[in-house]
Amino acid sequence: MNLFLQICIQGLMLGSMYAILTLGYNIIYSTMGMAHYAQGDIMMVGAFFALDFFVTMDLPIYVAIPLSVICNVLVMLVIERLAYRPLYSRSRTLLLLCTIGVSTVLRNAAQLIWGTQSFNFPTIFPGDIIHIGEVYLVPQNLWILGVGVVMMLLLNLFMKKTKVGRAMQAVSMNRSAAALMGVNMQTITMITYGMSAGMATLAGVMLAPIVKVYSTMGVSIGAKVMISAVVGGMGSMPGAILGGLLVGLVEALGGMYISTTFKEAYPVVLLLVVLLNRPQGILGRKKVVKV
Amino acid sequence: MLLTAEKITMKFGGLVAVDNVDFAIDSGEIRAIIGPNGAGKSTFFNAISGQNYPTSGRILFDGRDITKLPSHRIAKLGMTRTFQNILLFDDMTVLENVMVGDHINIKTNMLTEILCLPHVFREERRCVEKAEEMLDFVGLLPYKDQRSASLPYGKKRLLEIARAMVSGPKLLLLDEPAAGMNAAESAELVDTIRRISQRGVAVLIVEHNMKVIMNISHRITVLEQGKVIAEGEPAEIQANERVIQAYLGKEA
Repeated sequence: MNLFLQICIQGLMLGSMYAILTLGYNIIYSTMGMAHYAQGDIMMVGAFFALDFFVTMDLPIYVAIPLSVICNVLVMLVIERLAYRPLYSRSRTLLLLCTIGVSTVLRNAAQLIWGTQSFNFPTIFPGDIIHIGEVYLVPQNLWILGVGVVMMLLLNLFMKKTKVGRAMQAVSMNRSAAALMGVNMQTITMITYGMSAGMATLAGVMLAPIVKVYSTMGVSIGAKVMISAVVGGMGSMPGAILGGLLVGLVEALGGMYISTTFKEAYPVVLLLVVLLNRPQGILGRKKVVKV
Repeated sequence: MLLTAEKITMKFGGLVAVDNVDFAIDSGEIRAIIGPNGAGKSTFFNAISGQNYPTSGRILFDGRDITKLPSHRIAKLGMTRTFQNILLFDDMTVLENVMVGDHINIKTNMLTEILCLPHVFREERRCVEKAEEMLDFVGLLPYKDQRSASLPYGKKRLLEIARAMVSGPKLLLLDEPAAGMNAAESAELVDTIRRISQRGVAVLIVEHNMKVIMNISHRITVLEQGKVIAEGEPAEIQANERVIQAYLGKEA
């Protein structure tokens, strides 16, 4: 029972980071109407920035994290300007292919700049292991879970209670009506990508001490992000959180009780089960096509 | 003149939807555009509000050339509109819908919002108050926390008007506001439009419901096949031979 609890907490910790990444993926999906395949690789770039600032330059963590967020947001905005913007008026398939291309370019650029080996990332939040009964908790993991929960709450507040957040929601529900209310589509587009990249960076930094930093780290995490999005329901914010947490749990529990060899496969099994029973995702809404 | 449209022509391929139309509307005026189906009313409307750009011609609003401006800039200058097929933000509450309508007047941005500066909260409160006042104006205040998709049809139309009015526009464009309304609802609509006009806002309406049109408009412009065939007060239009022909067809 204690072991089970421990694994669950481990899973939720991983899952909260998947949830943050999926939220970033979903805000792009709902405001821009496109699947951002390169989300995992953006996270990888953010983790490398953090590695440079925190480890190589030895900056304190509270400087290193904001700096890497800023750098990564800039990288994202440059990509948006050069690669995505020329394609908005074209078919969505082209845009999807373009994001796959961006993902490849980012991965190879990272290999050129930082090399192909994997780097250890030191623990950000050191401290003694906490015992509660017979459950052992690592402070790092508790921090990650805490950061995840706080970010989800903040994002929810931002979307509901601020002008920019409301405008983003308005754009996702009805583009042309939003434009006629005076919402500048270009600003919202840039804010959407910026926020998504910022959240991806934070998740990357949090995950770095656990999974290490390497150029292809975005591949498997990116796949889990897309699985979380589909499981929870594409474009749904509560769905992203639920999907992320579920994928984290399934991965941790499967790794414990079945075998870690198939760690990457358990989320896919979850995906299959959900798709067979609820194709629109657990919290997704069925698309009703009006004639 | 608040809005002047000079020689507006809109072509879609070989089809001339709007043909060399001159048009002007003064502040505080209620103006209707009528015409048989396919006369180019909605196309003309879309040209004015910046949804489609005219093939040729020039549109001046409040002394500025807005012909090629994108819709969000036109909204900023003080022209807002509603839609024939109701475009609300379905998953938001009634109140939130109206708050989005006030987007251009909220003086916060991403940075101040992230830093939670005190004026962000002040602006937010002001925005809520303004939105509630506007909902009261159209009589939807009791529904403010409902999801907008759950409102009955006639109330959705009123909500669209509230959303368009909350930013304090100089010109309000209503695209078939009475479509699908019953008699009681359209009477309520007529009353609301009158009260909007009393606030000094010019109202431009495209509408098929003649009872509503004849009841409220100061002047009426009649389009047929993309051309203006008559313009004048309701009584003149009702007596106009060409208008009657356009609607009823020539006598054999």
